[in-house]
Amino acid sequence: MYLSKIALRNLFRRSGRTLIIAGVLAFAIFFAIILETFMAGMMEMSFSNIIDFDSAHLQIARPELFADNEDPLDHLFTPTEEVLTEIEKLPGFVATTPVLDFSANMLAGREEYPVRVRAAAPASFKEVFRYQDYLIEGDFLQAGDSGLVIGMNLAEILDLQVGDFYTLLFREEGGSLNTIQGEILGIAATPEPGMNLGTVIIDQSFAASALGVSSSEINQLKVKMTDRHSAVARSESLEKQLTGSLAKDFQVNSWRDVSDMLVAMEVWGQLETYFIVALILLVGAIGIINVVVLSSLERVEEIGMMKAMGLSEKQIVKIFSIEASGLGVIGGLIGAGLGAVGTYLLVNIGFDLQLLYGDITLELGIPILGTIYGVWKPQSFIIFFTLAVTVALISSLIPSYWAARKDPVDAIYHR
Amino acid sequence: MKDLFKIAWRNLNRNKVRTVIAILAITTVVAIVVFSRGLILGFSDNTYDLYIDNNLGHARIIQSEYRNREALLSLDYGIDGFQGAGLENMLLEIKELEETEYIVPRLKFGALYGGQANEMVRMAGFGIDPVAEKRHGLLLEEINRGRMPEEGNEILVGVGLLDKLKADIGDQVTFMFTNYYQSLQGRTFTIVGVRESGFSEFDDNFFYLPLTTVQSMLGMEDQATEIMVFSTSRDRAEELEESLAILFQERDGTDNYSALAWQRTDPILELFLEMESIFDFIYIAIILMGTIAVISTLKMIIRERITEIGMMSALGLKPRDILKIFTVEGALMGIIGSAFGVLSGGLINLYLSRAGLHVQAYADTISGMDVLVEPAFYPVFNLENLLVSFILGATVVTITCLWPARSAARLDPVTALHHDS
Amino acid sequence: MLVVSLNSEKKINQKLENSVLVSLDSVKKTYEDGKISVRALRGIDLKIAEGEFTTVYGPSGSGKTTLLNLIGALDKPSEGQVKINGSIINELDRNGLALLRRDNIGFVFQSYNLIPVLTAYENVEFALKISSSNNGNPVRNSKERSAQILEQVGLGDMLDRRPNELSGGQKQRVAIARALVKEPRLVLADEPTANLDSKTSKEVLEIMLEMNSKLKTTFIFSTHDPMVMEYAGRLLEIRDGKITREERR
Repeated sequence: MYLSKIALRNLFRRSGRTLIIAGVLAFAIFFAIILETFMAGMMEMSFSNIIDFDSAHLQIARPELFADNEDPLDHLFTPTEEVLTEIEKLPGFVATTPVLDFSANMLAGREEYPVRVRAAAPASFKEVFRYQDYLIEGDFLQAGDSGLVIGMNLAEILDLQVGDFYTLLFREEGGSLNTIQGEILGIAATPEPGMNLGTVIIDQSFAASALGVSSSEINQLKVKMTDRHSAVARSESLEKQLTGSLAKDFQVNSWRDVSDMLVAMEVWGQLETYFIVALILLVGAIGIINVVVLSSLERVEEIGMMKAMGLSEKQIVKIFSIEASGLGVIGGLIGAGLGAVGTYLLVNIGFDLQLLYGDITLELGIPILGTIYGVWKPQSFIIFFTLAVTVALISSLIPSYWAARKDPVDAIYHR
Repeated sequence: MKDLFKIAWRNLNRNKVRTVIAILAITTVVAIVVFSRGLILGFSDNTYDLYIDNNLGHARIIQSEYRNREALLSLDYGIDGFQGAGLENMLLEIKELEETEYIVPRLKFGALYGGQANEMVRMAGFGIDPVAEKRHGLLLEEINRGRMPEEGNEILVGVGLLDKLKADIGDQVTFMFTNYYQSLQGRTFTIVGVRESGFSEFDDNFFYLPLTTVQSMLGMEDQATEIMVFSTSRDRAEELEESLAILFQERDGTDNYSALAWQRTDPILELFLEMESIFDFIYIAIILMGTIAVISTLKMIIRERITEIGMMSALGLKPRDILKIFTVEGALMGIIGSAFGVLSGGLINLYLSRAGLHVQAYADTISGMDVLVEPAFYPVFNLENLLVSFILGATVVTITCLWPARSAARLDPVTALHHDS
Repeated sequence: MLVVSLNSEKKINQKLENSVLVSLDSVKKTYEDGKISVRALRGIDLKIAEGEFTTVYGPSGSGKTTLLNLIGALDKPSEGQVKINGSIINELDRNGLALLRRDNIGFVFQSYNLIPVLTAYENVEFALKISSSNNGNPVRNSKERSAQILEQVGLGDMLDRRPNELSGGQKQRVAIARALVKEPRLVLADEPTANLDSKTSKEVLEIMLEMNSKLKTTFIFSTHDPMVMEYAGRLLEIRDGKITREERR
């Protein structure tokens, strides 16, 4: 009891010094919390962009389709009633839509550009994806249309406008070259850069007749769920259900499986944060050592007296460690407080990436556009607060022992 | 001044432990600065060089409108010399420029390979001038088997592409392409070399063949789509750009062609360059955190010697001199700390510049992005970095020490003498 | 409870058997400071009985402080044996010494050495609580005992003052209260009056005498002030590390 009382009162004896060192720790924590919330917001945004425009939460297809270098037209299937019922039975199910992806060359004037053509059933497609909100020109597809919805970057490089004619050159199932022709119906500017350039959307029934396949044949079922986190687990259970009891040859991928790069980026971002925080805390640790050494030098006679009174070395170490931990707590509280304010601002006002990067995210191919909003991550408050206190405590131990082991005679007479 | 240092040195020796810790703090922050500077220099140098060597040159000449159409591998924007007088002529004139060291012209086009099983392999072909490429050296270095294509239908292919073609050196492959007149052609080539750059974008998609062959097969005689101009160093890129602009103005008179220094050619590089200047502030902030230990130590020293200070000023020492004494003491800690910091940071960089710092998550991220960056970090070890970091450390510490030293200099001698410690 | 009663029983037994509290047997102490070695004590034989009020007298540098440090188990002899309350301190490690000091000895120093962040009352209670925090036996009535002892040294109305709000004499009284509160067998005072004026010195010494007679606490203190020697029951003069004169009054 008295040991903590002494330690805490000592903390305020040199309040300037206390505040500065606590400030370093606070800075580390503040920095970490802000970086984490920012990263989380960025990831939240990237993942939801991919989900809303490209992958949906779940995608069901023949396993071969997910392998590299395969012609998607080789792996068609017709979703049976029992498969669809199975999907609809999933907890958290919202909507599903069939998709037929294939590759083609888009011809316009003298130019030609390789694209992925996504044949979609317009009605259900709208329930799974959010395209129609992001059209900058024209309209979305209607069933039976021969038109095409393209991304704004493709429109730009091929110099296309709504109403222009297009030609898609592709290889049909037999192997011979064929073309699809029609009008550009709409131009979309989505926050998912990949969809702005490399993907065009066409009506499925129209595409099927051009491809020479049955209109019920597709190569992917996309499923929208209520929550992206539970979707990952559902993908496994659904796959088991489909391959097990229904004995169908299907693979179910979640959004996470198709965002390898983002997942890696998330890990990298975290590593980076921890590395920087570790460096700042290292400086903080030396600051703590500095404080403990200076205070023990200032209080040599006091320590000597305590030893004469019979305090064990352990108890003296305790006094200094409590003091250092107190520094950690003060720094942690200030840092967490500032972090909370920063997070609040990020959550409610957000941060416009254009300020930082200009238009560059478009070119990097990262699905992040517009304003990023922070995410409350209570665990990062807890983790970094604990980290600061622990670092303070641990780095105080060696200098505390150094102080506690001083010969009491030397200490009392300050020799 | 020498005496001052001697006094400061003795005073610092009075309590070694706390001096060592204050020095250690500076050592740590300066080492961090040396390391991060080395890392960032290494990262950006690597990246700049990759972009310069592969795509940009020190300045890159294209038809102005080609910039937006490059992704299409369009053939409509060939460089056919000033006023259409031919590429060769233009190259000769560029060579005349004082800043020009050498020139690498290329003609980029799209091609298809129809393999078995209906699959189509899309590729980008580069018409290259073997002599110029040898002078440039990049391709030559990255050929891991075989040789450069010299003439006729010889091609060099990326290692990943070789896989896709299911072919090997000496094999013949037939590619399809559209020529300038939009007619689909086929031609058979002999693979004479394999390039391995380590970047899948290049290795999986690119092949190289003699420029003259490409010019004739596409119907683009004496043309190229891009010209990389190199000067003696990348620092001269801006001068080069300027001279080129003047040349274009004189000889062509239109803004048909654009010549841009590498810094302005790619938005990603622009971003990197901008970030570099932000980092200078971060370095200073890191060092400031380290000075906290020096300042608190100095303040304690001043508190202990308060009677001594009173004595000194009673003896007629001017506040300026007292300021000097304590500033020198702080500066000494800063100098020693910075020296050790530079030493340890330098050693870390020296080691990592050879071994490299490999972080899996980073490599995974990079491989998914559309950028040219080495998937490992190689910090730069150079004297400039060590020197800059040392000066930065010593200066920042000395300047911050003025603050506690000033409070010592301002002490009233009477109160100082009767100070009850 | 059982432990406590056993302990106190043991204490009583020891007292009966052995009224000698401190014994020094041809003790020498040499300090090594780099190449120079200083012979602070050159052979001391001394026995101090329970309840004695002893003054060690001598010029500065004579070895008084060294002698007190040895008797106070703050230091170990280079040669010879020091026995305090039955324990031979030569054989104890640092923690053993700390325990010995905690349970048997109170200290008063020239420079008071109060803990500046604690009030007068807290300084005293802290000394009492150290033992409880070490061996887990709660000290009973610590509040009353601390307040009472401060009352006895005449500081009953200054319990809540911090050391920097007290005069030198008041600080030394707190120090004495702190040394006495745990009712030690032995109180060592190294030049307790050196920083005090003569009037205050007298008051402080009278308090110590009073405690000596009331609590039967053994007092050993050092001084070079002749006025202080007046109070001693037993006077030891030290010169050049040897006891040169001994006198009982």
